[in-house]
Amino acid sequence: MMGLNRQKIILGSVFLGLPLAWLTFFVVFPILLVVYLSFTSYDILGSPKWIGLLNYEDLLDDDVFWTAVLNTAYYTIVTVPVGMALSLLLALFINRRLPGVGFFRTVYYAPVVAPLVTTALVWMLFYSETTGLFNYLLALLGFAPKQWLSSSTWAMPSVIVMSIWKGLGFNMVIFLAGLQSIPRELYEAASLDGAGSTSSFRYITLPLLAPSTVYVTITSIIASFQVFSQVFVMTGGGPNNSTTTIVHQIYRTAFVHLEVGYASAMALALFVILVAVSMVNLRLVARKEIYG
Amino acid sequence: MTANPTAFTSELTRDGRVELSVRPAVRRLLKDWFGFYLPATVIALVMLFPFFWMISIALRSEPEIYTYPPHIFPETIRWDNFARIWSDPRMKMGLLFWNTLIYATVRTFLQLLLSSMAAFVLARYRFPGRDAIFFAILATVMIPHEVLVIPLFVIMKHMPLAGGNDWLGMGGTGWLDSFKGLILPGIVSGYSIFFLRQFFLNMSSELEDAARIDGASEFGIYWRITLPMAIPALTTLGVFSFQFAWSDFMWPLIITNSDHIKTIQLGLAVLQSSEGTEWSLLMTGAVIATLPLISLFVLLQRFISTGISFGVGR
Repeated sequence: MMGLNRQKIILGSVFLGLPLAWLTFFVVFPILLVVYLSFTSYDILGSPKWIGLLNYEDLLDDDVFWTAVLNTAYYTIVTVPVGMALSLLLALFINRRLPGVGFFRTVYYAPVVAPLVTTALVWMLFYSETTGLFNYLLALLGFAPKQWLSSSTWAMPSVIVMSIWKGLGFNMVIFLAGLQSIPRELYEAASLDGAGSTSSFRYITLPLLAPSTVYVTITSIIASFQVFSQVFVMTGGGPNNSTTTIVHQIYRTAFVHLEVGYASAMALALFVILVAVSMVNLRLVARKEIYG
Repeated sequence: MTANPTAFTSELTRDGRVELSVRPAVRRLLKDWFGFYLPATVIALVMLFPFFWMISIALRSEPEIYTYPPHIFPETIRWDNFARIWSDPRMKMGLLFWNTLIYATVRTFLQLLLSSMAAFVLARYRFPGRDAIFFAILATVMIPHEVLVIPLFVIMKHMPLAGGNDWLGMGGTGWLDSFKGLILPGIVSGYSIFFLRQFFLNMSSELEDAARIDGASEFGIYWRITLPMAIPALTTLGVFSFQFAWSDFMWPLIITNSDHIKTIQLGLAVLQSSEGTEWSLLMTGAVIATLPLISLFVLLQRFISTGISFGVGR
């Protein structure tokens, strides 16, 4: 019996100790380091110099950073509601018991599986001014071609449309799981009471789907605030900073301009925003238990 | 695939009468086809069109991309693009492919190993402070990748006694531009530990207890009983982890520099931004970068859908 316990203690400390040491070194220590770095001026080559709150003061006057914040907000405000509405429609549409439904679900999920970089490259072809399909379709309909990725007006909407297509399937699956957890008897009872499809959607589907909706809203907002790869590949933040986002700005400041301390302050600002969103999330998830 | 093989099937209605008339069956069939299959196919074509276009461009000659109006299908199918990209010195496709495969595979296996070890202890042993440790691990899930990128880069560069560094981590390049730097930071994730612990808790421990009574070692129980029983969960997690690493862009962008470490996504993005992009070759590369994930997804779909309903996102 003692032998067994000793074995458990040894195995337990190794099995738990190793991953914990890893998490401490690669997650906990870095988060403390980024806080420290945000109070310094640091170009990676030399050593960090303590400059107090100067980075944060600079951040308040940094027009490009605020442009990035506004662009990120723009991206979020359009992508989240439109993406959610479309994925809910898709989930409602696909929520049937017919042969072959699984095939369509798989197909609609395919963009989620594809790497973001490669899909962004294909969409760049669609958006091409001279040979792209979108301008070809516009020409067929008698409209003038648009500079999709190279005009400040159209670049962000172009990035947004691609991103919505990419993420649709993921939220669809979450909504679908939510829809399937709604007991069918509720709809049967409602139709016996003479409720039409609109009112059973309004009074049964929407309220009972609330937990999924909350989950999708929060995860979508968090994901939108982290948008980076498609911007990097499709526009490089341009034209005229019209598509630069917070993460893109962090990347540029730290690894192109080598202002690591300043970029750390930006990263921390992003972190505060995301923690705030997550806090709201935790609150609502706690309430989700009531919905059951 | 077909909704109703014949229009004349008899079926049991809810109140138990057998319906034999033809017209309701036909009406159902029409409703299924026009209310579902037709629009579903149209949506599917829209969702898949970018994939089709990727392949269609990948199989063209470069000049054909610039023809106007654009052709939907290539005039002549150029399979040799796939051979060309493998030997093209600008692409180094073979190298990029192997790098990505190593990155994604090693990272996934180490992540499954370390996460399952922690999850095993947290789910099966009782000891003081267990719940506190679990919640601390869960709290790390809230810290986004993007915020950690800067400090991780600094840590990698100043790794003591690596890449020409002295014991204080100064002077050299540390783990920058190495597979260690690319892979090791991502091998433990709080989410995987959480996911597997949840799975272990729902799994009966009777078999493990029986093995204990038979005198099996604790490691033997973990390795020969718990892990094999958790294969569905490990597969789900593994697929997601592999997908994430294969598609990962930001960390390889920051940590790698030379071609023998770069990943495929990075190679494609860099090639696009360099001058004189050959789009037909680039799309060939995109197909090669996408195909493994799509095939993995199709093969392991069953596991993935349970994983998603469990809430595995990224």
